Amino acid sequence: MTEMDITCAEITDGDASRYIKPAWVESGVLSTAAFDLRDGEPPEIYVSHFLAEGLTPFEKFSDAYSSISARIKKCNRGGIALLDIAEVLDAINDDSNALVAFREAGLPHCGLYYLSEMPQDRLEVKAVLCLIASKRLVVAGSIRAGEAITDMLQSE
Amino acid sequence: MTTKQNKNYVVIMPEQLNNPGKVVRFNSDERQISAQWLRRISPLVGYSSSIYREVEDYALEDPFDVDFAAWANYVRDIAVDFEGGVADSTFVLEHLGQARRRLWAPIVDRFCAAIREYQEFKAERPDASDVSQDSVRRLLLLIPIIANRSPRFHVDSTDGCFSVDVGVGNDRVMSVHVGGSGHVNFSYVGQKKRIYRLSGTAKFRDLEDYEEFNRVLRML
Repeated sequence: MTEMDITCAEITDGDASRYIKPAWVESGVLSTAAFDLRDGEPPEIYVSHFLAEGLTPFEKFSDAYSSISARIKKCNRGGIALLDIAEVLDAINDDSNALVAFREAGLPHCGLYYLSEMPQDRLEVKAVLCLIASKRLVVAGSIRAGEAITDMLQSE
Repeated sequence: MTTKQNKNYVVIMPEQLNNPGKVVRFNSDERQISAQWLRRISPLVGYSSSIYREVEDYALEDPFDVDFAAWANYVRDIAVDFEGGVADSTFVLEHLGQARRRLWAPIVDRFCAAIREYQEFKAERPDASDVSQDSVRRLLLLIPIIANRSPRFHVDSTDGCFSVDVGVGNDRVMSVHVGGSGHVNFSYVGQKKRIYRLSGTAKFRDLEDYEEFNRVLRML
């Protein structure tokens, strides 16, 4: 993690959206692979998200779709999950042991950072993220179509 | 009812599938059909009349009743080598009888698909970790234990080891990380009033001892 990353402003509330590849949903269940960091050169240091603005769920998903589709051309085939940042932080971080943080990465782009290198911690955090993301996960193409947004897990 | 001479085979007639408590012959021994066993084989035989006809034609082995010591010995000797790709999943299936092959084939296919997907990723990022062959071997050991829990596999690029998500129902997630050195991390997350977490690490020094991971799954 570079010094620049560390000094990026933390985000503690709002909704973070995450693009979900089709391969990450199987038999109506979201895989923890959706929140893996990918190794390589250079290795990823955060899990990419986009802040989503709006008053209603549809407005938030529409805003998320605008951000994600600008970067991922074929995103219609996948899904978009909305995570309540405050809920994530509350569910995962203890007062004495913070395991994740959201930080700005050129808004609306933001990053979910793992603060522990321990495999056990990472596993636990990803399982919680999966549980929370599964609550609001819709088919990206249904947002674009402006129809009633379709629950991605139910449509499997 | 007829009983084949083959080890671990029993033929169950359709009317018996809804009849827990019935005593059948199994490898020359008498065996009671338990409700639990029927639930376990239900993914294989189903409960529809059309499937019943199929069952009449098949010798049905209990797909989960595995001699784990023999399985561990088999897995110990498997050559795990991805140099030539993993398209051929029969390296595992050859060992299996017909019923197990039918039930496990999709699982092994998913397992191989996870490796293929990771290799595609690695083709784009050559510096990513190699798939841990020790993790593969230890994951194979767990297949009899997780086969009836809708396992979904992926390779974690940070260490090349396998993670497995197993189905545990709505509002619950269980993820298992199979390390290459005998560590198996697990985390079970659910929500009642708030989100709760049950996590831990198992350590198995001998391949045969992986059967004991069943104890963790039984707690769920």
